[in-house]
Amino acid sequence: MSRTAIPGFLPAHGVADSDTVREQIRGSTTILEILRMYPDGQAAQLMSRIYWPCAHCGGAIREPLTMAALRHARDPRAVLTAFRALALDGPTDDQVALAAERHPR
Amino acid sequence: MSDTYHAVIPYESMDPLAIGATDDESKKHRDTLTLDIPTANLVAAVYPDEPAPVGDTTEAARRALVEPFDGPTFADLLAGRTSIAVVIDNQFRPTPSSKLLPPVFDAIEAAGITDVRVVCANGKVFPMSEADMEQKIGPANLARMQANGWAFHQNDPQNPDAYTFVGVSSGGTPVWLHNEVASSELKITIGQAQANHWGAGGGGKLILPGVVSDATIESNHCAFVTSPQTHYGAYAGPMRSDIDEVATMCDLDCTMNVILDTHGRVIDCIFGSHPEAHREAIRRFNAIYAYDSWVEEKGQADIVICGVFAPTDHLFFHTGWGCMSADLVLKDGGTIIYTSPSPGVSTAIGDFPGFALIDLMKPYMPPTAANYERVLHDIHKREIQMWAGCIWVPIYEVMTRKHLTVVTLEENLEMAADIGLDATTSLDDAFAAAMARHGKSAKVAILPYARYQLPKNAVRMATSEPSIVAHSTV
Repeated sequence: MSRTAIPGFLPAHGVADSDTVREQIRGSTTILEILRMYPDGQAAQLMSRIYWPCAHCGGAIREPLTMAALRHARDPRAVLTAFRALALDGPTDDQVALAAERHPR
Repeated sequence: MSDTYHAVIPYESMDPLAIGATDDESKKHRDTLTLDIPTANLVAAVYPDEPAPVGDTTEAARRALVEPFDGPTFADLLAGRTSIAVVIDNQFRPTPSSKLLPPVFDAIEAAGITDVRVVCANGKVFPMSEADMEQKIGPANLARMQANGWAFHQNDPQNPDAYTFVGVSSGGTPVWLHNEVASSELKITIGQAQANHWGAGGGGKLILPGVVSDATIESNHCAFVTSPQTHYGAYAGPMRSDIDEVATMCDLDCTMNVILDTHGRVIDCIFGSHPEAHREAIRRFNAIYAYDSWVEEKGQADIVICGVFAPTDHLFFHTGWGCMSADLVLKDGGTIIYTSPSPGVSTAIGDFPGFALIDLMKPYMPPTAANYERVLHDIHKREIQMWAGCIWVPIYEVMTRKHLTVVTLEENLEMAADIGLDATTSLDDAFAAAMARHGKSAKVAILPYARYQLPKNAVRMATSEPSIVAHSTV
């Protein structure tokens, strides 16, 4: 039995164990894909630090990072930078603060 | 009479990998905290008188299906139908679905229905993984579904193609229902009946929020969660009323609900037509867990000490609901001491700490009336997602009026401090601080199973009963 596959969904990239995980985070990368890229929980921890409940949210399966940033009233560029920094032993506290900053619509 | 009362407070959690395995004691962490309280200060220690468990859960479910509380038997409902949706609750509910499904499946097979789907009512919560499914549904039931070609679906709230528009409720909630449920001739929900701060769980709640779209969930939750008439016991309150109306609009035919005791054992199983069978399940739940309020005789407590029992879960997000029930018998300015180990949860996509999702209140700390106004504004602007806000916002609202101290595991203290919560590992220290705050004559009450417990005079089963406002004396 697969530990990670998520059955019962209409097609969404990343729900099957066989789906390939991208190597680089882009604006179009879904939250689920990002979580899959960091199975040690680093990405989930970053989401928690910027007050995103994605790790518990069914919407994470379909939500691209840029759309998630807009939905949570954040600067998409700052959010993208913070998540990309995971690959470089980051992000820094400043990068997290920028990603966490709200920009009311 | 002794000068001190020796209180024993449950301090429990379920092994994060034991999702749905409510009868496997080896997977539960059971501990107690003890506290000596001056007898003169104690106004109540409410320990429920629970009936014996049913023994064989599967047989109890089989009996319930042929002896409905209201309406036709399940076999009679199936007669002449060609399709059915069996809606079950998700990995964060302790309903033992694996034991309840066999007689449901037997009846479906006996009726010769082949167009069958099982749908997980995960609302906007992260869906079950295959490993979660194995624990929740059980290998034998999964094998049976596979052999019969019965599909499994989960709610997919951000996918507009997955829903059918049903209409608008009288409360203004636009309803989009999952296609797989909408297209089924017969619909049954299988869940757990319990009182909660939205009124009640189980029954139609597996339809809304279980298998409806993001827009439907947010519309209902944004409109009704913050109403003072949405509270423990408010079956006739605006939130639960809208939920049941929407379930009726969606043609929910019948519902089977278990009542679980504080050890997670099934003590009753009630089947019948929607919503009558669920209302009866709540009446039976309240007959066990609703208590005579001491407030009229002795006044509101200054300090309420709450315990947590294993089946309620492993995140404070789920164990902490008792804050809203304790609120009903605690004076404004009083202290809730909430003992909850909250060890965190392991999911398909990683491990999450015990205070996960409670951190959503951090931008609004400290909890003040002015900051609560900000919360309400941000709900209105849809900047707060109320699928999670339906839990943290009510806890936050209580915190604007009462002091919350959480007694928890050492590993949670850093995150609690980061959020701005008062947390400690010591019940003695928490109690001493509360007594210092409220003085030597402080009135102390104990609700060891707070998430289940509610004062009887908060129960409001029909709209004809006088309203109460949760944010005042009960």
